[in-house]
Amino acid sequence: MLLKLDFGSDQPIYMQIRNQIVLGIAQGQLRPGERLPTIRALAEECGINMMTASKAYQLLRQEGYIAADRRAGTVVASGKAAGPQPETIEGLRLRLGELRLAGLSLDQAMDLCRKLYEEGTK
Amino acid sequence: MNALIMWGLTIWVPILLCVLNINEAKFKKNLAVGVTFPLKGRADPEVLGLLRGFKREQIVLCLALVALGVLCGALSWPEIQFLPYFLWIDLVIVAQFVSYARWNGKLKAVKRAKGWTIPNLRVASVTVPAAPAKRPSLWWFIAAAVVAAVPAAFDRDLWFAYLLDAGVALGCWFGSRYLYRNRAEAVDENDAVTQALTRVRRRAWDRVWVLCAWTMAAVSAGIWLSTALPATGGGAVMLATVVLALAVCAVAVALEFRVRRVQEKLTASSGEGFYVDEDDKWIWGQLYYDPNDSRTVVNNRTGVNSTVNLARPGGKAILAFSLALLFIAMPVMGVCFDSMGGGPDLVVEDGALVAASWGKDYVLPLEEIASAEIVDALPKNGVRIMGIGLDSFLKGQFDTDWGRATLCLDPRTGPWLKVTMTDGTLYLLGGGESGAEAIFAQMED
Repeated sequence: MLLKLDFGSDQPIYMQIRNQIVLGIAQGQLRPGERLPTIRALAEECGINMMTASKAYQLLRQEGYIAADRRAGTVVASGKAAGPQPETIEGLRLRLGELRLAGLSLDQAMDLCRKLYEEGTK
Repeated sequence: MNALIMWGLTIWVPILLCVLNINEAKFKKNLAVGVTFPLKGRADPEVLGLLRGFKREQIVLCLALVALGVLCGALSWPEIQFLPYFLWIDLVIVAQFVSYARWNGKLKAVKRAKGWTIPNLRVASVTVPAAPAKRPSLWWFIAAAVVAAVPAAFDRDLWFAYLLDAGVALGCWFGSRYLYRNRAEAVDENDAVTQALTRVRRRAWDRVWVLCAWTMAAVSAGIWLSTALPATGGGAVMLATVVLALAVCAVAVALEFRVRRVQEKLTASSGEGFYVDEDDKWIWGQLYYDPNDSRTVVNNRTGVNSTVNLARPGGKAILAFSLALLFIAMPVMGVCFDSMGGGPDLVVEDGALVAASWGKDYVLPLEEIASAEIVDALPKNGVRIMGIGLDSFLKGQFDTDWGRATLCLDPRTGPWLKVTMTDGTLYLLGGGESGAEAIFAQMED
């Protein structure tokens, strides 16, 4: 799986890494139990500071997407998440509002959501 | 003679650079002459026309540079041998660099015009760095260092040279580890190709360093044998050492081309959909500049080699040092070498005979001199062990028909001063305009 980092973006690099790993897990590019690079290796690979890589992993670990394994280091978490975080629901509310303002009907918005959701279950 | 050897050993450099540059015109990792193209760009008539032009120019340039080198080597002016040589090396580097940059610019312009530029993103693999990489054991380097250092126990005169070789052999381990950027060789989203490209490059890189370490061991053994055997046999061993060095160069070049061939083959069908495009970070396709990249040492885009990130202070320092070495130190060195003829300055002062020349002066206390005489001929056979060996100046330790001797002389015109010390050490000094006869008379007084 490839990370595509935009250094000109307003979004911090650690957040870009976090978001793309979450998407990678959702789309099946990273499978549960799959080993992830160490913080040092990820920093070297991306050409970023170790603190930045550490921050991304810390966030992913807090959210339950990745876990520490005694033998394999950091791996993709195998357990199912307890449910959406309040921030996720707030974010979804905002995006759905944007879709409504963009002129999409409820059916059209649901079709789009279904299509995007299914991309992650293929 | 030295000048001819010197030109003979380097005249192939423009040919090698030409072959490497022509190879750059073959698409590998979606790149040609340092420009990334999508798959459809590889069949574009305009792009292909430019690549043909680039190849033609490389051949013309190579022929011109080789002809100039042969001409300079054949003329071989006795008073200025080194300055033209070093200036020619600078010219070879600049000419190839400028030509590459020119065609890189033309290809980039076509790419822009056709709308093939993709957003400037940093691409990094998550899967490849997670897989453990097998690197050569430190013991390979330690063993080479030990072999290089062993002769120091038997030949105390040259202990420094042997230990230096051992140090370099050990330093190869640091080179293999720290001059390589452990980064996935991603060209597109195909993980299998990324893994294969990364593995091929890493293995080739490690092999080059192991080879270098063992070459140092062989060089050390060669020096030892050349001193242990009689002068003629020593010459043969030194020749064998040169042949070994050339063989190592050949193996390294072969490895570079092998990696390039694999890169070409593995990415033959890449460039559809998403592909990695880092052209914006490579000035003229050759110099890496990325302020957002925290690394100083980065991998070259094709082949095995590494380069530096000019946006980092370390990268700037390395570039400045290299430029100073090429365009200031080398010409200055040429002028210095050319002015070395004429023999050393011989004087008798403070109860010692002093032979002063470039670098270290030889100070021989008069009471430690067992015998001194004027000679009109030098020993016929001599093999340099350590020091300077120019047509116009010899300095350092040499194995000669008269035994091991320390030389500081102009070999072209005599007479010379042969000095034997009470501990048996032999010195041959003078020649040229050093006035050896007058100094000998002064010593007798």
